[in-house]
Amino acid sequence: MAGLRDVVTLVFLVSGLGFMLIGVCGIVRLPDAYQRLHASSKCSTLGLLGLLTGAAVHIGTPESVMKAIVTIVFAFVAMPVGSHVLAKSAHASGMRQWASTLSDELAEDQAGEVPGA
Amino acid sequence: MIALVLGAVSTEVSRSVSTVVDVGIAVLAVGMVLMLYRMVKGPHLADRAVAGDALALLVVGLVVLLAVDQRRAVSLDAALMVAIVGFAATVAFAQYLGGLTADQELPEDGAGP
Repeated sequence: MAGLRDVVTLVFLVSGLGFMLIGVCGIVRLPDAYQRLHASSKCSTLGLLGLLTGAAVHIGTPESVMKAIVTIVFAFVAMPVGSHVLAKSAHASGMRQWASTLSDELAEDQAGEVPGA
Repeated sequence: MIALVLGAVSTEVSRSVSTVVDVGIAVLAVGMVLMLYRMVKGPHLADRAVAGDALALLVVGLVVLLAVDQRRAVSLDAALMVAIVGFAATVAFAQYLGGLTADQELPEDGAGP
């Protein structure tokens, strides 16, 4: 049984670390702050989910499971909210998009050019 | 015999958990260095804010790995605290970033900082 628990711990830890590594690569390599936010929020949230689930399985006490659930719920609420706030204020401060980005729908909506908006 | 093999496999797997923890600490340290690079180089202020957010998240991952290594749930409290502080720092940075252009009107509520 201890072996099975360690195997599950290994799967969750490795997947969490992989997501975090992908997020870091995206933040370093992508050309634009909006795309960096895209990489950061999703990959880091899933990475934290994997790491915390692995920790809860490895420690195994009800206390640790409860704390991991609280932290996961907080991360799944707070990370998208923080990324959204950051992207919106960056857009409001007039940050330019990458030159090859196809559209800027928020600016179009604010300019009133879309009749159905 | 079977119990002996299972015991050997079990100790091997539990040793590999600590190996994964060591490798994970190295991966997160490399990620932190890359985030510091992005924070220094980032052309816009928002890039630095994104890098700071991701740096706080990597610290959370490091604390979780510490909890796995020690097999104690106390470190998960520290992980939650670092996550909350990182979120507050991101929101504060976003407020500062949005307040840089107070001459522009904000949509709908119009109540700029």
